[in-house]
Amino acid sequence: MAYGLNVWDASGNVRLDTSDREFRYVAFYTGSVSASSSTNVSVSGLTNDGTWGLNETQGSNLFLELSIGTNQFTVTNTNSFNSGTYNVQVFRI
Amino acid sequence: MSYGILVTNASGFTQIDGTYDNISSFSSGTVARSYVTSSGSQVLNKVTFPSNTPTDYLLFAKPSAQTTLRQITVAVYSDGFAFFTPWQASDNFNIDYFIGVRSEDMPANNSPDHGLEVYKANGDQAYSSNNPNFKVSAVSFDDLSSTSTTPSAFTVSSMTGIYTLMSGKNYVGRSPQGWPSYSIIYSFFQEFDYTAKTITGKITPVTNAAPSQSGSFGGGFKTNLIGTLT
Repeated sequence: MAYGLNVWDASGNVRLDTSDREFRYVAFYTGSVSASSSTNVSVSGLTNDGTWGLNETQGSNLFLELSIGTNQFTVTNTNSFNSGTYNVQVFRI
Repeated sequence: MSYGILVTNASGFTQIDGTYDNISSFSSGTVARSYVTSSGSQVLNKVTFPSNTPTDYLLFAKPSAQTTLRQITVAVYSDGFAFFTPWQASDNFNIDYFIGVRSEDMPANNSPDHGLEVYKANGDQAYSSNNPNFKVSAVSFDDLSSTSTTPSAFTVSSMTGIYTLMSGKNYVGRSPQGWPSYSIIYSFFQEFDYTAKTITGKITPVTNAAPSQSGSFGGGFKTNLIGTLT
């Protein structure tokens, strides 16, 4: 082991190893987007560098598009008639 | 970070920092697949959310039997969720799942053993080695733009115990094919191939719907994750 932290449970099972890549939750955002509109949501530090992840979990809405930017993400509602509610999870990996 | 603990792995990725919440298993189980028949009838095997499930939960899943090739997607309801196979795919099998939540949302452990607990500046727990935590094996990102988008694929050396993140975009498009009888809803599936040892995103019909002369597609950025619960 070069360096790092190993953690075991009481049974001797490894709970954290120096090679593990952990999933960490940053925040959960919810809101509404008007018909044929976009909204930007600020997330400090967010960037598309492979260590940030985000998903829109209002999965049954066909008309919501999610895009990642720098210090923000954008939700676009392509529905011309109805507003849409978004639920976006942001995490680090 | 002004104080506290910062743990990085051998490759430099942060594992624990007391700022963001590590993910633990809140609840787990096994459920039979759901599907929609060619006539539009739905066979639904829904899992009801356990009490106190937080709203920002994550769903992870894998086929229970690690053989052959399986495709699953998730449908979320106000009171629970179900895993669907592609439209008209009647092959019956079970799915193992767990509901991932932030460490701070885990039930209080009144008899912790030993190990490590890390707290955030506000006093909420960020990490506990008493909880199984999700370890990431691989991550990829898709930009879903149409039903012909080719999503990412993972190839692994061992499929044993590998779960995939199911939370995220599931319904991605509606096609007018089938007019004037019906339209077809496309969903984002995860395909587990236990022979090739791959997990691949697939955009596949999941159900039929009311007829429509026009199609639509909504997707964009999507994060795919596979890993194990340790």
